[in-house]
Amino acid sequence: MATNKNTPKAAPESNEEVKSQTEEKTPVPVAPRKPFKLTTNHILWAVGIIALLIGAFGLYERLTEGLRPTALGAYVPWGLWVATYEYLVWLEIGSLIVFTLIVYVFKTHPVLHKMALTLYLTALAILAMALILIGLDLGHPFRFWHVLVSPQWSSLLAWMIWAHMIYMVVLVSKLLIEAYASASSLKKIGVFLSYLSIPLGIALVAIAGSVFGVVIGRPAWQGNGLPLYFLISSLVVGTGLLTFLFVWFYPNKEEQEYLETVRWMGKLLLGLLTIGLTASALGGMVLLYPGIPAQAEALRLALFGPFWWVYWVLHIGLGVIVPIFMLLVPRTPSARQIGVAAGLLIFTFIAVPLNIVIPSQLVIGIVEADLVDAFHGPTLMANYFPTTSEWLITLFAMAFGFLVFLFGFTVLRLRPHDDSTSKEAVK
Amino acid sequence: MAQEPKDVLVRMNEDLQRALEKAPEDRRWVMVIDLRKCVGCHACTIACVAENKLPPGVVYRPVLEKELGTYPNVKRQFIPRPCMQCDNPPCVPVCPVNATYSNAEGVVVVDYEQCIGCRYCLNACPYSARTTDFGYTYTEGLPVLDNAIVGREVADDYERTANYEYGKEWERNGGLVSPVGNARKCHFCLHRVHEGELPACTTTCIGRATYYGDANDPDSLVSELIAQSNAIRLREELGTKPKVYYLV
Repeated sequence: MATNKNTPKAAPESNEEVKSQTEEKTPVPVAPRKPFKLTTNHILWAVGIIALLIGAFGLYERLTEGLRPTALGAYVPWGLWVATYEYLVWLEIGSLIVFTLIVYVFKTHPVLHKMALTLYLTALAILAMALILIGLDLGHPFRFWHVLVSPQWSSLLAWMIWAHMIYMVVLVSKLLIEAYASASSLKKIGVFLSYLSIPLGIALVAIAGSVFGVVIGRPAWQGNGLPLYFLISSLVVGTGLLTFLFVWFYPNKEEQEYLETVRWMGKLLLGLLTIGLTASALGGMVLLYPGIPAQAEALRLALFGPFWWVYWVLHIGLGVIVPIFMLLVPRTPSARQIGVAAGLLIFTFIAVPLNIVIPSQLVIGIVEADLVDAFHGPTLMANYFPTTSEWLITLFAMAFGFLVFLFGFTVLRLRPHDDSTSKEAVK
Repeated sequence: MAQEPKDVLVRMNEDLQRALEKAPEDRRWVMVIDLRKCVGCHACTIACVAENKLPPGVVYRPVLEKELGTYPNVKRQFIPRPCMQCDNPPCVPVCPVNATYSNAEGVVVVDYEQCIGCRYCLNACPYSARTTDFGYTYTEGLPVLDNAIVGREVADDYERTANYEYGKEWERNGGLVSPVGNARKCHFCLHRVHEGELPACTTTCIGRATYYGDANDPDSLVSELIAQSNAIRLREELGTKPKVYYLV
């Protein structure tokens, strides 16, 4: 029914109505809108979300077409995702082991305790990336729970997954206690969990190395070297991450204690890097000297194959020589120099697991060429280079982890805390 | 008058029937491949592909070809390579979910419904006898031929028809459903053996170079053959104790 605009309004029936009509007439002052200001935070969120959306194309392909869009196959069953998973485990566990040793066991640099929240948050973000990648590497990702309900304990892979799950619970508990607990009993549990995380972390990294070491089908992996090498790599890259975070996020960079700690961490990084380099050089020579094809060819492929630059340029050049130069040459390297050296080390260290995981599987094409030629098919090739889909999913995982970190850092404000009782907290 | 020797297929069939009368745990299936008789025709490979409806990228029994010597003293050798069905299989203990195991008859099998597709067993096998099923089909990308006897639809139908590995129906309808996503391997055609038939590769071998039977039966043909001094197993130094023997 149409309404006549000139029809007078009905008389108000109650006092409330009168009041509301009066209020309608009074103009409410509106606060002027703040002009939008683009901040670094906005840019970081945008970058993270855009990367996640781009990576989601890979995820869509993976969920609809399975593993077909990958370059994986029967002779190279593990590729970029497994290598990246190992790298992330090294980062996550190594940084936490080094942190706990310095802060809780040796108690040499209590100022580092202020980094606890940021480190735990970073470790959690890395854990998320790692689990996404290893989960999507499975032919049946949605059967992941089979490992939890019916594990076979003779399998080191089952041990690795269980150890990582337990570690995740410990890490989340530590994070929650550090962030929100105030009761001293809970704080004590946090310290206990920190101590517990050392043997658990060592076990997890060593088991991850043993997953490869027990495989008699891949002679270049097989043996007792990899568990120890994984542990050394984890400590090197973990120290790098801790140093990087400390330099990047520590709030009071003018403090003398901060500068002393950064320089000490630079020396620690240099020492561990030297040990790691020595271990890999010795290990390499031992493999090359007898020249057993299935072992030596894998190493030769990494050193002198088509992707030689991954080892020589990315790892040795940018990841080892430049950081050593930056840490060693200046008499007293600045915090920034130490931070950049640590950053270079950690971002190029992905070359190491890539060179462990992939060439050892490719040698089937050199040593057992007859098998490769015997029957042809889309997954029966002894060559491997990650496809776009594999890169996209890796991007997705990285972006997801980055957003987890960003959420924790900016929204939940899990930041370096400025407690003056760091020494008390670690008791 | 001397009795005419039986064809090996007939004898192996009789051996098989005897073995099936025993309890599964009393049988020990072995395969013997006479490399001197193999002519490299690949009939066993194709028979296996047809029997198990193997998709592209999955092969249970490739035949490796080797060229030996230098001219004029050259020889070509063919080595069929099924799963070795090891007594000490490296692929079994590494499986994180018990999806692969030696069954009562000593054959290494895969539980497709339990397998998570981690492909650890593929790396663990020193014979590279396992492959992985990523869901490919041979008819992808083929033109659809309307009103033709053989077009993509017909071939599609064939590929979708179930295979009967492990005595179950495994249809292939294009989804990511097992055995797609799984590790796959030779299982000595147990689904045929349990029905009293020899494995597809054995019956198809045109040179009678592949033998199959129960090594626990002293009267079986395979028991005689593996006792010969020229019977070898591949990579015995690894301690895997394969149940596939080669006569050289």
